[in-house]
Amino acid sequence: MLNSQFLSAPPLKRGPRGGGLSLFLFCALAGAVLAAAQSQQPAAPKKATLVGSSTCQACHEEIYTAFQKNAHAAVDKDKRRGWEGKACESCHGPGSIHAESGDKKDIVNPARQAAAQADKMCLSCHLNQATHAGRIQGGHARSQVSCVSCHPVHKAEGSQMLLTKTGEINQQCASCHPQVWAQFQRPYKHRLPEGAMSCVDCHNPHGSFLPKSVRTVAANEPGCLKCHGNLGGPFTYEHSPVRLEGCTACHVPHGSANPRMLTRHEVRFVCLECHFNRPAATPEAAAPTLGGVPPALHDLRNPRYNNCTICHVKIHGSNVDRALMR
Amino acid sequence: MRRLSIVVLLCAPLAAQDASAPQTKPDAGTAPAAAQNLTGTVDFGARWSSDLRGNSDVYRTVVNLGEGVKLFNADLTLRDPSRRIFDKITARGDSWGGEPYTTLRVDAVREDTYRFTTDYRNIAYFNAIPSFANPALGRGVLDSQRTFNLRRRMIDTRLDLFPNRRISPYFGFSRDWGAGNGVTVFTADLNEYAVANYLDDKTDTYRGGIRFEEKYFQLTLEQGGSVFRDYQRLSHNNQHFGNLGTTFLGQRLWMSGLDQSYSVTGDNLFSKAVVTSRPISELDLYGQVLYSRPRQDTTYRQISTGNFFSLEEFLFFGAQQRVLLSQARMPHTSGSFAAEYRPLRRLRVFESVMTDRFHIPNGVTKDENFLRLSMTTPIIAGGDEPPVVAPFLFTYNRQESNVMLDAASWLTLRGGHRYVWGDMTGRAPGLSQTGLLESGEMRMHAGLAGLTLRFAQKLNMGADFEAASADRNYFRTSLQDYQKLSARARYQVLASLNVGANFSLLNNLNPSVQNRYEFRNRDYSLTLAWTPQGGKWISLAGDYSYSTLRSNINYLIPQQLTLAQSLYRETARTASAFLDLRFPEVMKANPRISLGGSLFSSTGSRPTQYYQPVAKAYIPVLPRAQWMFEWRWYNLGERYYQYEGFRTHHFMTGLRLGL
Repeated sequence: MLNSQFLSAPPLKRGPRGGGLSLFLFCALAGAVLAAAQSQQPAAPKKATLVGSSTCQACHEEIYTAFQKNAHAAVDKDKRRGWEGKACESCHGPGSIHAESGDKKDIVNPARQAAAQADKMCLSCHLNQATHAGRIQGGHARSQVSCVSCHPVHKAEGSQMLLTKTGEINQQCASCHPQVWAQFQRPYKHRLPEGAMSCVDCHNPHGSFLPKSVRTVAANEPGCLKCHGNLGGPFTYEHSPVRLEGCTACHVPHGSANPRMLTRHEVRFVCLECHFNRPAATPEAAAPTLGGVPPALHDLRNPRYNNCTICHVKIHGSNVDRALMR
Repeated sequence: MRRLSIVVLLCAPLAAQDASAPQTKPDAGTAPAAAQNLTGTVDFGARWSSDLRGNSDVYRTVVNLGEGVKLFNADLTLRDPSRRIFDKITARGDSWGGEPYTTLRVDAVREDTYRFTTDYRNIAYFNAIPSFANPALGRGVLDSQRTFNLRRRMIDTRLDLFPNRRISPYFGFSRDWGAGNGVTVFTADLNEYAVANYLDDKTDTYRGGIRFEEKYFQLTLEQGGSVFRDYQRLSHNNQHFGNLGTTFLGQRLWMSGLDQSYSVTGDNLFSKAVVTSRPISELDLYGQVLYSRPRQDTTYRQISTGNFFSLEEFLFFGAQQRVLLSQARMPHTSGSFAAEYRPLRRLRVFESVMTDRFHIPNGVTKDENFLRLSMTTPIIAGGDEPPVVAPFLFTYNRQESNVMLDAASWLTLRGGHRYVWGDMTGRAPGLSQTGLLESGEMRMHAGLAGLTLRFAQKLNMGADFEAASADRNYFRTSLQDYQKLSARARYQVLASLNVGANFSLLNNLNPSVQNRYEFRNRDYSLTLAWTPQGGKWISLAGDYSYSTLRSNINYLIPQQLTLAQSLYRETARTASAFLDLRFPEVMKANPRISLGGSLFSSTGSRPTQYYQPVAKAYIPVLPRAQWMFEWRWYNLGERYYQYEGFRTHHFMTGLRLGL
């Protein structure tokens, strides 16, 4: 009976092409989510209770001693935070079962957790920091780099549990970004290998509103202007790439084999690759990109015209000359 | 409004202090009196260089380390157990004694009371590259016409007060100033003259704010301002024939005197509000709003004498006198909002929106330009130019959504979408053939994907992929139809041995008929860290990177408006390694030898080799003193620009004192 009903029913209308695939993907995603949600249901373990940091000290003396010189030691001493004498368990969870068994499976270890879980724990206290305001836009959050990847929580040195020596900061960043560090071994680069700067002078590892987690300074200006403030303008005559695409339109800030960290080996190519637009008969026919071709007096066979910045000295913007010559 | 902000900022710490007085009562009276203790190290000694061969200007541009007695490093910590004024003061200084990169950082902290940090840097900027800005290179002249020799000093100070848990006021001051000399070019229509210039700029930024911290949100309100000045002067008082090697209409063009001054002053007021919140445990919110209003006023004066030609007036003249006043304003409004929502324990949704808007109603308010046969003869051309308006309007918007799923304890998947759009209108560059104004738009959609794998903490792998298509863009070289891929893996082979590999790719294509822009960049890298017994006796760290960059794009030759191709190629290999050897304890310290350095070699459009091997030794000579010795070799070689190569040995010796 049922079969005959189905057989006699009119055929279903097919949706737009690709709708089936979308439905399949949606179902697959929903299934995966539900499976993941079900698989995480714990099997009613014996409930652990708080035992206090002194119990942890008995087996983890070295960590405990170092921890006392660490900024997190305040959690152990301060009544107002609610974890007085129980700082270890504020991150590792109740430790009574682990204290009895000594089994590492019986205690929460943020270093072994997925980044999202470890971060959630850290952010339960540290979310409210202005430095984290760009976290969602930052690459570290997207790529699952957790707080404990960079901040040694137990380490005695440093009041902020982070490295403050430029060399150590650079070494830490280079351990995950070796190809970026390789660029700093080129002759024309910012002075990171010399210790004059560190990666965090330009990037905010917690994330930023700007791409590549570029740090913002003062009025949300790109971090480059912290040191190159005289190039920030505003200018009466702006050079639009500086404002629209930033310094990296022409420079390779990590390092280059080309003088002044330029993207090309000769200056004229940096300029001419954009300055291409010919006069248009009508505004509607204008080229879709910015940058008009230089006038014909620019004879590229003459060395005078091979480096545009010989004449266009105010290439970042001028307050005097529309052609950026003074 | 400004006064009100200042009053609020000044009163807030006092009010907050009162409210929290019972909680922050100093415990100095109850703490046992104890002696302050000072710990740290001081490295001092001397450096000398030997056998500097090749181009010393390029050496100074690239390395610039000097000789003489130096304080290489001082790292001192002063603790006060009684906590009367501070808990700890840390002072760290590097490279003092005429070094090109001098730094000092001081941190003072008293827990629950204040934190004070100050950071000072003094950096030498020297740049004189013979192949850069040098039309006379073909005649064997190695002096660049764009050089500078500056000292740039930066100080950044911040004081955070913690009168109670809920309100934390802070104050900051930073100064960035640079001064020095250089060579730049004065352009007079048909000829250019390389002349000496003097540069002096300074920016002072003041800011203050209050952080309100409640259980469910944090709010930071900041009010700041900066004062800016930039002064430049070009001067010359000899006969100068410039770069034009020929006569023009039968006459030689030359300059006998120039006095040009460029004075820019400006200020900026900015207001900022940053909020972070976790209203419910599944939701984190972030937001920021900013308004700033930088402005600059410029006074330009120029007196030049010689024999010049004006294309505009089509006449020869002997003297020019010009005064120009201009202004630039840039009201800037920016807003950003982001949220992380966790509807399920293993599912997270990220959403962010950003908008940025500049509006620069700029202009030249006065332009007096007089041409004479000499400074004492009547005016033959020129006069008051009408005011010019040079507007610049720019908007930038970005919206991004990401979904992350922890599909298993070892696997996280990510997918998302980014939409970036904006537009600009501005005055076209001088001598533009496309009209007075130019405008542009950009629209770009990007698909995002990624995954992270973790296997028992020994193996970590991750990959991020981004593919985009733009239907409009600002520049021909902008990202148009591109794919980005980055992948990384870390594997702990043994407890003492870690290896890693990274790969990244950027493919960008602008397929329009005339552009034909093809850009491809690939980076491969391998890292290794070997620390047997925790690096007690020996440790080795090294990495090797290989990268290729290939760019093809058409350009127009201005004279004939015919197409040519700009090709840029680079294949680069970089290796760096350090072997650290420690020996049994002598005088309560381990003698140590480090060997390593870095090598860079590239082929392609600008083949370059740059080698920096180094060897260091630390030998204990007293219970708290070590003798230090360091050798470095710098060697730069360029195949097409051989006159820019240099090499030199550097030796350093000194003592490291432990306190």
